[in-house]
Amino acid sequence: MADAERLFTLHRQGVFRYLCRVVGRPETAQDLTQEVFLRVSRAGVPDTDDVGHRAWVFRIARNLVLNHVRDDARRGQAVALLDQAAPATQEVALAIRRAVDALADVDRDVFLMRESAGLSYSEIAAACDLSVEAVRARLRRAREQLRESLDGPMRTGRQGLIAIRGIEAGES
Amino acid sequence: MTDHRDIVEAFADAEPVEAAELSAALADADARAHLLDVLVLRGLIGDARPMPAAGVVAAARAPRWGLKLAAAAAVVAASLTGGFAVGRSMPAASQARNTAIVVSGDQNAAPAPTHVIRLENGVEWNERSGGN
Repeated sequence: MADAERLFTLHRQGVFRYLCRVVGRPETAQDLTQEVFLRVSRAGVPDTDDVGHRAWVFRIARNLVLNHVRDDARRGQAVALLDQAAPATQEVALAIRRAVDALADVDRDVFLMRESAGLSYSEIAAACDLSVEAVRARLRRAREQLRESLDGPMRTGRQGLIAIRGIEAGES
Repeated sequence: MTDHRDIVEAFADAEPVEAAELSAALADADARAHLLDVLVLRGLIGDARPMPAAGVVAAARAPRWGLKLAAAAAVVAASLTGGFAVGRSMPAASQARNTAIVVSGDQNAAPAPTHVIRLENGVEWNERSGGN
């Protein structure tokens, strides 16, 4: 039980971020996060290292959210919702939401486990039953697809980074 | 892993990379542009959403703040009510104090003398130097 509590403390935020990005609704992600750690406590924590524990928790989260998004009604509802994280504007948030949803399921999980939850390649590989090289390839494919889908926001972002570099160069 | 894009992606993802490979990759303009894209995409996807744990903590703390505020409000209300009640229950003292103020108007009169000089006929009262 103490191990399950420790895993909850260590991974609840990453699991929530990952689930939130997949389902698109913070309330649903909270419910699913609770369900993940309920299952963790019921199942009993396996005897492995921290990397293995993290991968195991995210494997549970992934299985849970896959079952959730297979429900067509809920899936439609999630896509229709605007993302409240609002990286820049609601339009950009919606574009991101759609672009992420357009990824293949495994590519999306690999990408979100990396970008939203911060898992390493080996942790993602263990959580998704893939090799590290497959994770690397899917991650790159997901990024390239997102880059094409988000051409406008990406261009704006590049200009922003270049502007920041210009300011820093001018100051130094 | 020989592709420069793979190397800069691994670098951006905090995966182990060979220093020489990274150096070669960063010398490649295409790989640098790809690194920039990875970072921009990360910025776009970046999740600033509040965590559920924070919500739980906030919810748990809310009653405590509520209690503190309620206690402070109760103290202020008690002070105001008590002061009002005390003021209402002591009208006589208040009037007495006003009366005393009126009476104290007599104190504006000259104080009673402490030393009386009796004037006598035939005595020169003009002071002169030398004491004569």
